[in-house]
Amino acid sequence: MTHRRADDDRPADPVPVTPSVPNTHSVPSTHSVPVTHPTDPSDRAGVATFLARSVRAELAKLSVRSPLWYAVIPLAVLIPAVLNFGIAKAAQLSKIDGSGGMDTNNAAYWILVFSTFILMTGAVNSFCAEFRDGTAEIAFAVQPRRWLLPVAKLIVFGAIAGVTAMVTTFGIMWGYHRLFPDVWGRVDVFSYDGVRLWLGTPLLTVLVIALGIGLSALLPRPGLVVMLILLWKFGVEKFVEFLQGDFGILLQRWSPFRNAEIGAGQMVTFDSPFGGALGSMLYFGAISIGFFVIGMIRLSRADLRGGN
Amino acid sequence: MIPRDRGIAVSGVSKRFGDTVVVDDVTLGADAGSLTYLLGPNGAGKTTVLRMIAGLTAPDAGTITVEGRSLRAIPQLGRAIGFGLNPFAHHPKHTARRHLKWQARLAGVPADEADRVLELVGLAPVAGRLTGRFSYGMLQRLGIATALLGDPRSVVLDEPANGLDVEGILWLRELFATLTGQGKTLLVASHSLSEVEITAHRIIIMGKGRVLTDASRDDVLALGSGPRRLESAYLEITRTSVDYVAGGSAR
Repeated sequence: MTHRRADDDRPADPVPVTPSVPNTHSVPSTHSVPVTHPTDPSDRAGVATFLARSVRAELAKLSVRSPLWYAVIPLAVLIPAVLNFGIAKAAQLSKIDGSGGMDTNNAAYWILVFSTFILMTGAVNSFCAEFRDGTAEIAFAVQPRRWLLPVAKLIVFGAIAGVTAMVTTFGIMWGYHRLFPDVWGRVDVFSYDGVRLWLGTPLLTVLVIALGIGLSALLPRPGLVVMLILLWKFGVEKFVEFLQGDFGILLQRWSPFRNAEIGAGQMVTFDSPFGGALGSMLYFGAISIGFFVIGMIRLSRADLRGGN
Repeated sequence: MIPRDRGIAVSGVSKRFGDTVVVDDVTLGADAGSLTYLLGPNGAGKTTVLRMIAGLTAPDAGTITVEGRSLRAIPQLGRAIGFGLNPFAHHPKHTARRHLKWQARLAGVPADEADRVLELVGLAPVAGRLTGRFSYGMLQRLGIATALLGDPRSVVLDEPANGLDVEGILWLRELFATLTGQGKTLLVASHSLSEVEITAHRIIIMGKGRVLTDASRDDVLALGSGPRRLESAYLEITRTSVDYVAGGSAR
């Protein structure tokens, strides 16, 4: 037996080899039960299997009580739909006759302003809740590859948000063209600009979610993450528009979200500094994925100190 | 020297948070088919040791092995060890069944494992209730269910008796007896000395981040006296440590 004082630097005495079993339980002695090394089937599983499990686990969490279904997606669809409806109705009532009406490459404006960030907020809130509720620790104890959690979150929320953004963009372009022909008559959902928009908007949404989850892995406070992203998009990038001279223009051309909008096919007031829409989207993608990877690395290396 | 093939073996592990040494050169272990208790005052480092075994906190030095393999060599630790470290870790808007099915999917075990462990911990009648409406005792049982999911070979629990009523404690006692009878390795941190005195096979007492005692239950009890022998032994062991630290030569 070892009985040591806190300052005792001597090596510990050997652990007694005779197990002592209390009388209350008829359990076998320690040495009557050999420690075996069974081959766990999961030992042979590859990363793809673990990722599939993580994705299925994410899907298992999406109960009907998830705010994703009753708040996030409805708001992401309804806000741009209602705003576009109100503006189109007002324009139609004032009998503008289509002059100054909607162009195809401007049709996703409210989706890019609202829906993208609402969907991102849903993903950020879900990811941060894992830390607030302590469930991330359960996940990491079950599956020590911690990067699987943000990746699974991105796959699930990215897919749901991407489909939502695509359906909303397509639906608004297709439906409002018929509802308000005087105002939305020039919008063609199957034109080059139209197709690019309803394909580009979901891609942008997925990348914004990657950015949000990446930041959440660095600062797991949903309010702070959302505030930082919105502050950048609607504060900093707006502010640089007011800077005079070439420096202001340079900053605008390098603004990540501005480039993301170019990449998605939304009309903006300057050309891509990266050779076109694809280059601008790649620029924004590199930033988003960069933050996502940094977040994953930080999460994989961090000590989780727990709360109890 | 602790054999490498113990169920759980912690060897020479240290951890500091900032300037504070939380765990200092700790060597301990738990054998298959036995119930090993980890005791010690608050701040002794018990929870940190358990969290290092779970891979949630990385040790600064030392090694941790499970069935002779390092933690990094086990692709899915949760299949080898079940952890119940925090009863408050749950999605409050999920039912108990969904909470466990999520973990079952993550661990790659059949989803009906959730129902098996709910039955095992006595929560089957409330499987469809939101965990946010659970009492502390029910959350403790849910945390134990988490640890038992997938029938792991070792189980690590942090203060599982907290919040349990008398029936719950008796149930836990029987559960531990069953699990050790199945040859599982149990490592449990606890402050409930009366339960430890009844059920322990081995007792490890920590203080100020170090192992003060690591011995069989009978050997520890032999240090005590009176009707509450473990309590008296525990106080004697930890007082020695605390007194010394308070005496001025402490870390």
